[in-house]
Amino acid sequence: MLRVAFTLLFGWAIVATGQAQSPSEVASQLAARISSQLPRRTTVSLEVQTQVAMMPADLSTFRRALEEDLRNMGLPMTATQPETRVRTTISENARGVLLVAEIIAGDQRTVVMQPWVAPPTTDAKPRLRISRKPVWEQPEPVLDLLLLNSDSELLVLSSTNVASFRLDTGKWTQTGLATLSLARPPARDPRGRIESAPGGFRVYLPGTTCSGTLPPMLTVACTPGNEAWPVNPRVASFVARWVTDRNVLESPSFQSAFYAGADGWFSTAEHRIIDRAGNSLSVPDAWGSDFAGVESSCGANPTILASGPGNSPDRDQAQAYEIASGRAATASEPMTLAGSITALWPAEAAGQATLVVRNSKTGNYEASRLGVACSE
Amino acid sequence: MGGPVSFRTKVFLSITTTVVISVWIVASVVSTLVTNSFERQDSQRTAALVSQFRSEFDRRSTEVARRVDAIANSETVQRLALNLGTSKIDTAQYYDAAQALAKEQSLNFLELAGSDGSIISSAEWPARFGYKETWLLQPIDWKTQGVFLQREELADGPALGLMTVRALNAGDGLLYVAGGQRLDKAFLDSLPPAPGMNIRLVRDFDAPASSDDPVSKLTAALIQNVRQKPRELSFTGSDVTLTAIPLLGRDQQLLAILMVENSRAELANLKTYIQGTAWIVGSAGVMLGLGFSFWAASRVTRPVRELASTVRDVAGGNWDARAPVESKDEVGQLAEDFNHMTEQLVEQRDRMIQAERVAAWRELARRLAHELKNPLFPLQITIENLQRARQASPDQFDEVFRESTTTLLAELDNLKTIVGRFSDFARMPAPHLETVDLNQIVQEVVKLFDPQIEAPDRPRIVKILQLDDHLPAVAADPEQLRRALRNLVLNALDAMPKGGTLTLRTQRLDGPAERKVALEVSDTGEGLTPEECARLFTPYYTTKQHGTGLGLAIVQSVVSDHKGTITVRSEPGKGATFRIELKA
Amino acid sequence: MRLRAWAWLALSSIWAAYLPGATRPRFGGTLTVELSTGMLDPASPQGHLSVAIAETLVRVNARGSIEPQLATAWQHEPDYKRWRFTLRPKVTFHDGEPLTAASAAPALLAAVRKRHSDATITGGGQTLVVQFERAMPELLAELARPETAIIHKTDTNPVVGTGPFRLAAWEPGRRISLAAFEDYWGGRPFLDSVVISLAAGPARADVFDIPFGSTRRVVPENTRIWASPPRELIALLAANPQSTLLQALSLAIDRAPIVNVLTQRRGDAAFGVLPQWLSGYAFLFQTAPDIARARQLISQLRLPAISLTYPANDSFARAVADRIALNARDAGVTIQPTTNSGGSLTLVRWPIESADAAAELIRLLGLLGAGEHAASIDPTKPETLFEAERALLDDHRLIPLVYLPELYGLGPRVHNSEAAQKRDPFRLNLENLWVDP
Repeated sequence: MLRVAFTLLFGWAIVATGQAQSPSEVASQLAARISSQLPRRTTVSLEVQTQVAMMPADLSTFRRALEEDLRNMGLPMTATQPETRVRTTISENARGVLLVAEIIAGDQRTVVMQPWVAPPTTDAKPRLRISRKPVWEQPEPVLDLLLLNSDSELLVLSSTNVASFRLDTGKWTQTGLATLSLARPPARDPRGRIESAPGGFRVYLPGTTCSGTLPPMLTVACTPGNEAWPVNPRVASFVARWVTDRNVLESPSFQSAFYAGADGWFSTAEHRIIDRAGNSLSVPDAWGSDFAGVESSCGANPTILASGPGNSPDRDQAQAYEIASGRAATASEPMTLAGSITALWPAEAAGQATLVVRNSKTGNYEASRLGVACSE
Repeated sequence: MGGPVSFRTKVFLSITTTVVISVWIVASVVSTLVTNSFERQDSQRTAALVSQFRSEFDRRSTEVARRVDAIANSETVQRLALNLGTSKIDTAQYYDAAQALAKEQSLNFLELAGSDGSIISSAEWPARFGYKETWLLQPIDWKTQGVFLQREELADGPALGLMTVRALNAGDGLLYVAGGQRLDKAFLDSLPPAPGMNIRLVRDFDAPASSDDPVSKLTAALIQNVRQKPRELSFTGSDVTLTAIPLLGRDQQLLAILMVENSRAELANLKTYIQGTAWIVGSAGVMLGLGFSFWAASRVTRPVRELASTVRDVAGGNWDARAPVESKDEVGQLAEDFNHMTEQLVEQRDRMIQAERVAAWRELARRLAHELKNPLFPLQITIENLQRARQASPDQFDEVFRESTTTLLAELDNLKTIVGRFSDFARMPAPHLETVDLNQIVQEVVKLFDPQIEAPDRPRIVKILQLDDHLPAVAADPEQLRRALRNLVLNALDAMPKGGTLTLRTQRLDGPAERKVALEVSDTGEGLTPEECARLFTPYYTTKQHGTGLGLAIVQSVVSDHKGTITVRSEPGKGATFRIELKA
Repeated sequence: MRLRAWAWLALSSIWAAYLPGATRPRFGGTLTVELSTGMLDPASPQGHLSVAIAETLVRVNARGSIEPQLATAWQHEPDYKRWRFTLRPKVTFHDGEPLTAASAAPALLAAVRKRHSDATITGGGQTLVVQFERAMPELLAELARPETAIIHKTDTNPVVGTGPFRLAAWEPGRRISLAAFEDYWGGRPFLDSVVISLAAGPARADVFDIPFGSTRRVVPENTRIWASPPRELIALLAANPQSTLLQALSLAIDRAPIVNVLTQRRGDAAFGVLPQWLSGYAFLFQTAPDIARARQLISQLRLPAISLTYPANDSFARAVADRIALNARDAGVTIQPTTNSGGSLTLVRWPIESADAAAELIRLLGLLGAGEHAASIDPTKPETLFEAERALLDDHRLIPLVYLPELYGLGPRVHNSEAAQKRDPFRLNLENLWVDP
């Protein structure tokens, strides 16, 4: 059941995956099933209601398509004194959306049902000053990604493999897949880093370090070990390594374990943001465990992109903060995400961070690049 | 029917009656006094219990009010009221609040309801949340209403509760807190018991009475009575006293009746005991009375009885019997007087006998003189004639001598007859009884008179014999009977000088006690007047110009000796009938 | 009494005091768990406890589909009599023994044979072959049930499995201690240990169950409530079909107060056998109460008092039974709730065990003794499920009343990885929890 999605979307877009059916497609299927239950020329009145959150546009598309298809199949529509009423409910069960059509003629009621595979989802339009560029999406967790060759090549680090892709007419096509031989079972809440290295790339995972070569021959060789690596590629002095197979880091210059660090600030296991000296950073809202420092082209203060709790428990948000005099002030509107943040790393490119979000609806891991720019 | 009641029995009965009545009166009075006293005690006890009930009721009411107030002021309820006011509250979370609150305050009933009366939480029937208690919505000031009785519906049936309501402000509306305690057996058990008393709470007024239990029927009757007009009422049956105390609800409707059953068993036992004792004592008393009165009667009446016995003796002919005089009271006096009277009677009798004897002699003398006078006169005349005739010629003297001697001889016969009659009368012996056929005697006697009857120169006499064929034999002296009959026939013929009818009749008389025969001799002569009838049987009374007048006396003597009776009936001009009745 | 050790369920948090979404989990710590009812028996294959300790070959995911667990792949012959499973590599038991066909077969065979005596298991290496004498198309659903978890017993440890936690200590009837299994193939769990005890009353542990009924716990502030999707059906079952009576009762019963008050709005009114989230068509069975019509139907019958049996020691069932008796009273029927068995009506509580709608409906039909309706069910065609439910309800032997979720309270120091929870809505999986220090 591995499904791999091929998408590259820039700009504002709605993410769709797999063999999703559009409202018109599924309406047509349903209409066929309804009309198979009725003799031709039966006058029919149609009601459509939904128990599922849908975009109003999708709903009206569906209704229009259903009506037209029924008419085309020889069932004239009428609102007054129909011979048969068709009441369609867009419902939902464990497997997904289910269309339930009741065909009511007098005391008789016949029911037909049609599953709707992956209907469009709603996505709240974010209001951001943070720019977000979706890069890759897949069902398996994405730990990190690496864009190479002017963003024409992509390496995706998952918990068990590295995959390579090449941008081809706007779509990523896979060029290689290398499985990582792990010394330890992959940790819960997996985190990992992939970064460029001479001759290819390096992968850092709790308990395992790998190095690999780039396509056309994507290979990777892993050894057990726990090498140190720079938390921020552009600040080589700040190195850290995993604490065995747990997902916290430790650094020689920072005594106790932490989750993330940027610009001299660390998010500790006790969920405080402190500096090396132990001073707390005052933040207006609770930061999550992940943050990454980015260079902002707008302003001189250090800018940190931090994860935080969103409005609903299964959705996080990302927000940009500027640090000044021991305080972090929000510098952007919060960007609500489609799920919880599983990775937020500074990218190899300046001014960018890699963000991986697990979509709470689809379950897919969506990797994107964040940038910070001034809002107009 | 028995004979007359004896004096002793009367005395005996009167004394006995007196004793019995006295005993009965005493027992009744005692019984009545005891009953009254018991009834008084009983009603006092009931009144005490009722008053206890009332005060317990008041105490409970105060307690209920206090506890409901405590609940109304509790934090849970105050919070609920506050939240209700905000109108965003979800009352569902309070649905089991009432149970805990009620348990805390030991109340059986507790309901929390909103402004529209819908139950938020119910302790006694938790499943009833959401249902409306419309009675709470009445425009009543619950605080002043106080504590009242109310019928509450429970899952397992209705119950009676002592309830009160508090209405708390909850925003624009109200929160009702209605709580109370159950009025049931446990409540009754809390009243101190009295022996013989049974207290019940009756809620089902229509329960049928058990047809063979009088208490049940009485209860049912009492309940119906109180239902029609609720008030305290008592009924008394044979075994119980029932007092009904109506328990009224808020609207004065009858919710239940407190039935106090006071057993009259004790009283009944006492009464039975008394009655039994009375019976025993009375019976004993009556027995004693009987014995005493018997003795008393005997004692009292003995002199009287003895006197009566003496009187009987005297009446029976023992003129020497004397009553014993044993006391100086009236009875003794009576005996004395009786004896005195007896003596006097005896003397008088003797004197009378003497007088009678003298009178009889006188009468006889008179009669004799009379009888003898008649023949003597012709004798005298004749002799005078003779004397005179001697003076006459010898031829005349011979004739006269012949006539006179004839007359003298005739008159001497007459005298002889007369003397013979007297001699017969004197010589009449006691009858010599034989079995005699009266018809035969009649015929014989009649035959004797045939020549006389049929003498040609006599006027015509018709002879009729009516003899009963079934005449029984008689124990009699036949000769005396003949004589008596001869006399009667003679008298009858003498009474018909011009002729007439002579009738002889015999008749069998079957009476209830004895058999008799009757013999009648009837003539159709001149008859007799009533005075003559009365004097008829006196010796020497005769209406005949001839005869000695002894005839009827002889008849009477014979009849008397045969222990029979003789009567005469006659009317002047119609003849006379002489009737002799003899025992057969 | 439900033999339930405890069940761990997926979240939809209702009151969120501190949202853990953006926070990375931390490793370490001991989680305390309190359950108010149930048996604590790790050896009992029925308990969901076994899930933390032992695992099955496959599992049912949130969408009701079968997913690999200890088996990564499987095939079957066309006649469904022979199945071949590929076991996941690099999996060890708690005592270090690797998971192979040899180590897995005995436990698996014993478990499968309990219901299917004709099963045989062969194989070698990482391949297991399961053979039956008759067709077993439903084998996968069977192998997803906790009863078929792969365990073995030792002298010292009654349950040795492959799950994320191992049994550290067990005081029967009182307490179970679990310790993290360092070499778990899915990654060592965040928690170091878990202590589960039986206790009612005010909640003091990090995680505690919130049962329905009068044994409701007093839930402290700062508690987040976790609710599974509705997964227990409470229904009235008639001993004999009495169609007019049951028809009248189902018109008389007002489910809304039961849901709003007795379940404190945490349950859902049930009109069909499967809940809406599982079938998607349960709304088709919905009806509104109609007391007048119910009274009319009752007036045609001459009914004595009817007894309604509810489980003893179940105060929630008692409250529901009392409410039903009250509704029935309004319609003119006297119903007498009782704990004595043999009543004309019985209040049943049936758990829904997985998100596989067809499998659950077939199982419930079997429990009801109405297996004949299951013959027509095609899992790929939802209408067949609908028709089977409709046929069952038309029999008038069953009146569904409410669905109940399972509720747990999480203290403020407990966090949950929701990402993992979404995969398995039925269980609050221990391996996804972590605690603040």
